[in-house]
Amino acid sequence: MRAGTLARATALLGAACAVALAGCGSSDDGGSSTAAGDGGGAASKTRELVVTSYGGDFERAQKKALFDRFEQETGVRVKLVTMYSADALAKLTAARGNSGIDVVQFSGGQEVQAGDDGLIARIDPADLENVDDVHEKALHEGFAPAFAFDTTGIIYRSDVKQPPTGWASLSDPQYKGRVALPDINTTFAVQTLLKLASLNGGSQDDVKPGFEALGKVVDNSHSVFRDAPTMVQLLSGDEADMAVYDSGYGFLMHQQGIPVDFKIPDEGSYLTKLTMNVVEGSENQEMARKLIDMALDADVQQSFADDAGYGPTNVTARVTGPAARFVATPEQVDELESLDEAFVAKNRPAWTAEWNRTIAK
Amino acid sequence: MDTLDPTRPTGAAGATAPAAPPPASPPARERSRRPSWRLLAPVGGLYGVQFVVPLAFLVVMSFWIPVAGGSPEAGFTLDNYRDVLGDGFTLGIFWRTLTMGVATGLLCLALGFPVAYGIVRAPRRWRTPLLLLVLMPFLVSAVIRSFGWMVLLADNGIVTRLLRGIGLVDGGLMYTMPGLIIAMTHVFLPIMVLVLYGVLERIDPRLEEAAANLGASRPRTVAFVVFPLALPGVLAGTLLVLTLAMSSFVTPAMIAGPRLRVVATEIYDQAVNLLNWPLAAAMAILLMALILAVSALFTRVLMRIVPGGTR
Repeated sequence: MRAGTLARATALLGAACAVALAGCGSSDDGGSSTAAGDGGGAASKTRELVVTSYGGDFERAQKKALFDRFEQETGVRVKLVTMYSADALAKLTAARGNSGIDVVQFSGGQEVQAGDDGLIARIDPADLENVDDVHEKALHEGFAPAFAFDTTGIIYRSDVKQPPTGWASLSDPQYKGRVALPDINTTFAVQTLLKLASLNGGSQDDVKPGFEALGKVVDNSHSVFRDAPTMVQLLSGDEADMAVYDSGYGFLMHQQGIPVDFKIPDEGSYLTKLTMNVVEGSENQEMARKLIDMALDADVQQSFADDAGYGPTNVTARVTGPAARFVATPEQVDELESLDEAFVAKNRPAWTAEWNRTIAK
Repeated sequence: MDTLDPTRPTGAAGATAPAAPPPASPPARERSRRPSWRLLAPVGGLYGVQFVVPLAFLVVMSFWIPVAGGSPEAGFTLDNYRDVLGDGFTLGIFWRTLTMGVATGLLCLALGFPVAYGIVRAPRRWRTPLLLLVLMPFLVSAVIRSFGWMVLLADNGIVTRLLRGIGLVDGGLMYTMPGLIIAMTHVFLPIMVLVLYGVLERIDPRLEEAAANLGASRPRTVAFVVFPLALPGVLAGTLLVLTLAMSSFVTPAMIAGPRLRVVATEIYDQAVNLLNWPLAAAMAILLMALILAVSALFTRVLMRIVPGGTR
């Protein structure tokens, strides 16, 4: 009775599926899912503002510096939904005005594409009190300015014999098997690729030399990591001496007692903007603008920089604590480059395909 | 009522004599054989909304035209499928996913069968605690379990050092196929044990006693009596693990890393990081087709090679 056997097998399969899903389901909600859907909250009585957040220490610092103060001053509750930048952009694109999110945070230049696609609302600078104090590199024409700067560089273990000097160190044989590289899904990897290209006679229009150089870096590397926690583990577990990442994570690891320092490469590097944007279609646009304006305040940025290690965009803010070692000085900010985000967005698919082939084992 | 019954073989009798009550037994039996729609309706409806409709969307989406750095355009193109099937690199990713799934399924079977059989034949009061022990890993999310394996499989991790000590591996295990399969087997083993337990429990121990009476050794009894009887469970467990392994995301993303890609991580990258939903949809459809094909093939082969399997 083959049919009978199969039927029973199928029944079991179904039963086990339920068990499996109950068990595995929890694995998926770590990052992007759920919360935003029920966050629309138009009907709720206490007003609330739904804001995307990166979780962890970043969220803690932001809450302390900004969200708590905002709640106190306005009486509006800030509801955080954990979502990385790429997930947030994908969600806004898919939901088209029905995401239930009021303010979206981006850390990888996604605001340019979101702005072009009409996913975030335009902002008149006249509506922002603090806009006059903001560094010109933080501006995004027609939209909200960045509330913090992030510097791309090399996080390295302080106990390494010879500290790295810059991009050339990544393929230096003395660090053979001790270099960790972020995957192309991070903006830091895109910056690495473009920097390798320009240092080897190419440019963003001609990235071929960059991939050739990348091949050498990969041969010299320990591994390519997909996410920041993996990078933290590689450095704290002494499996790698250095990793390309940002000043914010360098400071975070330093605060956790991991012996690391941060190096802005001698050959120059990139500045990444951390932005908060009003979501198009949000019913709380005015409140959202108020929150963004507050994020540009010098005191708020100082507190955030001290706790999180991301540089202020308000030129009157001063960083004095231990974070000062990691945060780019105003002079460095002037020198650091910014990605041409629109160009990157167009070329990312092709670069990703080539990158994946280059790093594959 | 008779006219509503499409399964009635010869409608003529009922139609010519409507007044006469139909014979009681055949319609009753036929009715009981039909699926009970009312019982299936709630979950069936949910399934329709949550699975069938999105799946249909997915199929449609897989023919749309991707736009670099923007939302896809509605349209019709076969390029997405061509990009996957005509590209050796992407096909390699599918092949890796397949081998990983099959290896995980078979390894889970090899490790899970003795465990499940052991629990079934253990003294009654031990069974529940043992089953709970097997279930325990389910209480911890796959992310945490995978993170644990990252520590264990690291270059100076305990598992790596152990295996290096006995000469089984020479380098590290992180970001390697063996490392990935070890972690995947751990994640999915409880499912295999649970499925097999359900089937093995219902096998009458007297059959084994009879085999022993007739002179069969213990291994021979397990191979020729227990295993064939447990075939539905073996099939269900292996297919379940294979399917879940081939479509799993978290563990491969964490253990295998970007240099050793599988289809699920590739779909995620295309959908979320590149917003290339059409290509991601095409990959998802092809992954599903591959899983179905492997499942069918596996069922056939297993039915053929196991003694008594084709009964």
